[in-house]
Amino acid sequence: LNFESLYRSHYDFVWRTLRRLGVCDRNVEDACQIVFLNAYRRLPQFEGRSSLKTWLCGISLKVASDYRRSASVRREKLVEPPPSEVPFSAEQQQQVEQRERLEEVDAILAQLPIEQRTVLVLHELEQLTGEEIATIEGIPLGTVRSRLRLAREAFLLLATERSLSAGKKAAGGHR
Amino acid sequence: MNSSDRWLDHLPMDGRARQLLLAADRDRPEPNTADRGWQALTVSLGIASASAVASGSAAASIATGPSITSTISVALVAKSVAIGFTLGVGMIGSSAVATHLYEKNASPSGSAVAIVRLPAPSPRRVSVKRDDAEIEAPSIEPRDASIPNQGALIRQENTHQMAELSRVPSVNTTGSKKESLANQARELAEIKRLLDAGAALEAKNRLQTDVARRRLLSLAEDRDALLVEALVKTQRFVEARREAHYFFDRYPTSSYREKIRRMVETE
Repeated sequence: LNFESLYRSHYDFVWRTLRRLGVCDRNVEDACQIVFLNAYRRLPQFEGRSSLKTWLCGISLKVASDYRRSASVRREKLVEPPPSEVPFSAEQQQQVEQRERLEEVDAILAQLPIEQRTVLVLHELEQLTGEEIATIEGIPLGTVRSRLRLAREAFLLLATERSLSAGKKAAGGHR
Repeated sequence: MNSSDRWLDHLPMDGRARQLLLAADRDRPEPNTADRGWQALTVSLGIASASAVASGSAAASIATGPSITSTISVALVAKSVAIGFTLGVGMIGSSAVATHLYEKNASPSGSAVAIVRLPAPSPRRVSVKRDDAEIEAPSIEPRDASIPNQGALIRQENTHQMAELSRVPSVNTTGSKKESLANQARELAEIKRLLDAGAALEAKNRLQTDVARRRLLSLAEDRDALLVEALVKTQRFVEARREAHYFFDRYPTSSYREKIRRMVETE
């Protein structure tokens, strides 16, 4: 395994983790760079006590955390692009729906406390085990479980609320 | 709590939560993203240092494969421009330098200030000698104008004056001690481009050479701010803090002060 293999085999994982932990779309590539740059520099300190994936995940969490804290992000207000008047093809329509769902996921995740959000993303989306998450976060397994339970409940509730609210809006629009 | 037992699989098929989780599960970077990133990474790290780092302890089996000779794509360079969060800090953008330049040169008359967009610099190859390798970097294209903190938006009274500064094709990096302000501005802009293109080490070396040769004197404040940024980007944090300390002493009312403070404090 060389560093390029490490990079290529984990790039998607790092990218997704950063995206779901609050790094916005246009900054995620740069955040990935920071993760792998740091990984490269810290490689001599990697003792092999955890898997490379877990290790990279820890670095990603730190980078995402720094990103969320940065003043420029807090000040930043993204402006929605104007709606396109061009009719969509079926494929484009699917892409738009996928994008809308991702925006909704991000909006819901943003409402969760960061501890719950992290556990939910790592377990439900990245399929890390409880033990791995406990190692990364430096918390007991029981805490991971309880955070995950709370995160699932909150996610379900928020998704349902948004669904109902969208349904009401649609019904209002048809009247 | 094992990874194969997914909550997703137990959710109702038509439930919103399941649909959303599936959408997130399918989310992937665009096809060439990793390649672009890898190119940038090889430039940032450099092959020589890469080999040295990879020979350490548990990572002994992880060797480096990349060749340093790579060409940075325009898109990649543009991507690097707004690393607003690099190492957890906001970066000093070229627009800031341009604004600062303007403010230094603007006449004090109270005429109206227009917001204009600098024309994109013509594609130009910047050769960066590093040991036996050469990295070629085209100049930066401004990013999407719809995003407020991107691109080179500058305040300027005379559009021709600033546009001229950005268009001049070559930079004289050696020679006369007394350089015109325009030349100094060009040099600084080029160093900034190097920095944004990922050649932070080269940018740092050039800035330090300029400090030693007492060049870019009219723009010393901008230069010194860039030097701190370059040091942070090359992970020389102790040196960056020291330079930042000097910077605060030298320019107590600088507009870069807050950015530099955040930059070094984050590390």
